[in-house]
Amino acid sequence: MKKLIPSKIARGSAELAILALLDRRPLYGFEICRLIEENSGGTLRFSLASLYPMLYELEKRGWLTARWEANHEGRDRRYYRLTPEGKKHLAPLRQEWHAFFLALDRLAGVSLA
Amino acid sequence: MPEWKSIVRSNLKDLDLPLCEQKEIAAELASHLEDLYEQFLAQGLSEGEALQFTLEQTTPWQDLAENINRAKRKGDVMNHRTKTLWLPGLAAFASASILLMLLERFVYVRPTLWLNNGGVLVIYLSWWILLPLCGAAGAYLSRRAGGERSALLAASLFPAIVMLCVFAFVLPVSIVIERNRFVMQHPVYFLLAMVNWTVIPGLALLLGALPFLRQPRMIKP
Repeated sequence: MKKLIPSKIARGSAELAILALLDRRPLYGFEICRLIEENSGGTLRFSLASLYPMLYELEKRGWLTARWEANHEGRDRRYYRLTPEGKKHLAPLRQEWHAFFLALDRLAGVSLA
Repeated sequence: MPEWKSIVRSNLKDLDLPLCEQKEIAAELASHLEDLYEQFLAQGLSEGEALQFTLEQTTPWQDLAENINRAKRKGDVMNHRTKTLWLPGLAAFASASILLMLLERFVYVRPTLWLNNGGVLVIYLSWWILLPLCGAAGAYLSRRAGGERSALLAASLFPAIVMLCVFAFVLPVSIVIERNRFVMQHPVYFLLAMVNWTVIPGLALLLGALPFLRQPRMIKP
C-alpha cells in the first residue's frame, strides 16, 4: 500500500529543509535561514519569526540538540545538531516528499525532467 | 550598533517560560538580529534602513512570543505559572496547615486567634519556629520548576498570603454585614490575630526562602 502524504505540507517542507541541512553539519539559526534561501535559489525563505518556533519544537521532540559555541568570528551562537532520533525521522520524511512530487508530476506534470 | 538583547527582551514580554529559558531565547534571537543587521549593512544599506529591515523579521512580536511559548511547552500538562507558583504555593500552604494540625494534637489545645493561654503560646511558638521549613519547601519547588524570583517569593509566602486574604475578607464581612459586636468591640484582638497569622508567619516563611532567592543562573551567554 502506498504511503499517504501528510496534510500539513508547508510545515512538513520546512521541517524537511531544516533537518536536511542539519544532516550535513551543525548550524546556528541565521546560517540555517541563509542556507535555505541560497540553496533554494531564493524560493524558500525563513524569517526569524517562523524559524525559531520550529527549531524549538524540533528540539523539544528530541530531533535536534543545541549548544552555545563560538562561530568563526568568535561570537557565541547556538548551534543545532541532528540527533539519532532526528536522523531516523529524516529518511521517511524524504520518502514522503519524493512520493508527493511523483504524484504531482503524474497529476500535473510539474517535474523539471 | 543597536542593543539587540534589550530590544528583544523589551518586546518579548509575553514569553511564559522560566527566566533562564527566556534569557537564552533573547540571547539567541538577538544574535540572529545582529547577524542580519550586519548583512544588510554589508549589502550597502544605511543604518536606518538596515535597522528597519531587521526589525521587520520579528513582527508581530506578540505572535512570535506565542509561537515560541507553544513550541516550548507543547506536551506539558501544566503551564509555567502553575508549576512555579500555584503548586509550590499550595505545597507550602498544605505543609504549614499539617504542621499546625500536628502541633495542635501534640499540645492538646485548639489554637485560637490570640494568645490567651500557655498551651496556645506553645503551639504558636513551635509553629513559627518550624514555618521556615515550609517557606523553604515552597521556594525550593518553585526554583526547581524554573520560577523567577517573584514566583519563588510568592510561593514561599503563600500560607501567609492566604491568611491575609481570609482576614481581609472575614473582618469587613463581620463588621459591615453581620454587624458583629464582638469584632467591633475587640479590634486589638483581631489586629493581634492578624499579626500572629500573617506578619510573623510571613517573616518565618521568608526566612526559609532566603537561601533560594539568589537569581537563577543563566545557561548562556
